[in-house]
Amino acid sequence: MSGKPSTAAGSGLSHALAVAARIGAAVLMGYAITYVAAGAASLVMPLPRTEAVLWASIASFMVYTAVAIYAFAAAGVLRMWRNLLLALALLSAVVALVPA
Amino acid sequence: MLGTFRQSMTWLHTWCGLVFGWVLFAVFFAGTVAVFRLEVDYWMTPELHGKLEGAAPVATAQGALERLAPGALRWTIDLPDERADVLRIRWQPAPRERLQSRYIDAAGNELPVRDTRGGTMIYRFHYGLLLGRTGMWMVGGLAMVMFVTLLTGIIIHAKIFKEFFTFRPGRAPPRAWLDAHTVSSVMSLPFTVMITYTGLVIWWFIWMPGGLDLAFGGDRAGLFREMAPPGFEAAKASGQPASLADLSGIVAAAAQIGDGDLHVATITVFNPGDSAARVELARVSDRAIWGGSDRLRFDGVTGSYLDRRGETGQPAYVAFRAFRILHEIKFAAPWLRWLFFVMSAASCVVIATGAVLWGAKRRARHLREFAKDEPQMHSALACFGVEALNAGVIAGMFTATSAYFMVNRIIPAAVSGRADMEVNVFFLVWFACAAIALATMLARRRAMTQADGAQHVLRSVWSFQWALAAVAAGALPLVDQISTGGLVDALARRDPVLLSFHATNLGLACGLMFAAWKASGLPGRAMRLKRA
Repeated sequence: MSGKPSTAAGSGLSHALAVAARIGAAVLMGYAITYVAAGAASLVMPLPRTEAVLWASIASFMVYTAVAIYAFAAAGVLRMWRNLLLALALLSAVVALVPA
Repeated sequence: MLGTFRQSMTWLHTWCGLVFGWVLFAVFFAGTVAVFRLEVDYWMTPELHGKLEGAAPVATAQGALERLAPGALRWTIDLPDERADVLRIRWQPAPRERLQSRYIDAAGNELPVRDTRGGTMIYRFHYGLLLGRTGMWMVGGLAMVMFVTLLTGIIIHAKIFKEFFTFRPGRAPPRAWLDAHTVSSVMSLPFTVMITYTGLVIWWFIWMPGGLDLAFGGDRAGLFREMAPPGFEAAKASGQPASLADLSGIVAAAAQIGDGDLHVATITVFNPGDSAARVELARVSDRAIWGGSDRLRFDGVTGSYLDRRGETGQPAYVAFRAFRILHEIKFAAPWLRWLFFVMSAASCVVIATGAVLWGAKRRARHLREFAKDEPQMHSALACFGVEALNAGVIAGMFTATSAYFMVNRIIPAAVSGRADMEVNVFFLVWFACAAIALATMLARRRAMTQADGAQHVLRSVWSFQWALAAVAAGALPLVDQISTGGLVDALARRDPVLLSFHATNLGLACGLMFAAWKASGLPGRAMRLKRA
């Protein structure tokens, strides 16, 4: 078992860049998506508002975990970023459109 | 581009595990000690030991408060329990005045207590590294990384039960370390997953306030007010003097209310000496995660029972509170507390072996570089430096904690600012251990031009650090005896908390000695690394 995964695509630099892009996606996009997802879920759940906020917040760390795993498991870095940005935009639209 | 899913998970698992390994270890280590934080608080205030024998705590406290705080707005009595046999009274003299707090003995006399942060310091370090909000964010980030590490670890070890039975301690170290890491992980996995997730949820409103900010206008106080069960309406003073009922009688009457598991932990008296005085009893049970507490209200003059507030709440609030109680094991029987302690210690082993494993993996690669003509000396030094720091940070945490306990007995009780000194000793010893480990490695860098020599140095670093930790832990009962005569006193009174504290330290010292011996005595086996 080696520390570095086998890299089909070439040089050390592009590997490092790809890794940085994945870490960035996992940490930053992960946080942003989770934050907005918790907000969106709190708004759309058909529960008293405090209950919705609590359930959404309790579950939010699962969302963060899922995004982090996806950021490293997805095949292409660019496609992964595109999908995460799409998800963020979608969730933000929910927050913007549903009245608080 | 990161290969198969399992490979990419291996990579993520390794790095997440290392980068945060040391602080994570410190957080889990402190969390393990914090399981017994009240017991440690008790040990660290020897002035309170054995001062309540034959006491009737409620009557004693009432007498002391009537003497010390006759016109106060509010009295509070914290009753002794099995975790700490101490009696504390608190009172608020007037609106917007500071809360007064005193410990008293069986006769109601004030007990001056040495200034110490006790086990509570370790508990605060556990969730915030004593670095305020920044520290809390660091711990939150660590907890998140830990959770990802755990889940990806499960993915790597999908054949987890097969691998569970592959513990090969006799094999070459990297294999044995990997097995130790896997076995300890699997054994404590459910606990570790639970404790990490509940730890994240406890502070969700700091770490992930998306729901709060976007759906509740960021009004945290409003949210908690709305979801918490309604309390009693505030008690108003009438201005007519009247003598307070016998609190012991009220406590005795409370035993008939509700089910029998609940015992009174705290008594609060509003407007003592007023005709509208109210007495509130906070009761807890050590048998339940939820429903383990309630509040009772009594008339303070007639002593008659008025009302009860049980634990209630909407489902999400119940879930949130349960997460919190589960993580903090606020109310738990002693055996459950010990179980948490042992499982938490196992989690520390998971993290420590993970960090060692990371070093060992890289060591194998660097040893191959040694075998070539031009060893990359600086990177090899960095690699061995990391391993030396592993020893200094991990074993040093034990030494630092023992030093923190020890210095509590060494600094005279009257010295001002002694609480800060104690905390400084903790950090200084911890950093000193790391520095000694690194310095040993650097001082003997010549030996490291050969693979055998490097491993020899590394082994002696580990061995020395474990031995140091063992001596520090083992010396504690001795220091306690010499400074305050605490050991003989605890034996004479058969004080279960103090004796458990010493027994734990002695057991720990034996374990650490064993670790030192193991670390020193394996040179033959490690040489097989060269074949890797």
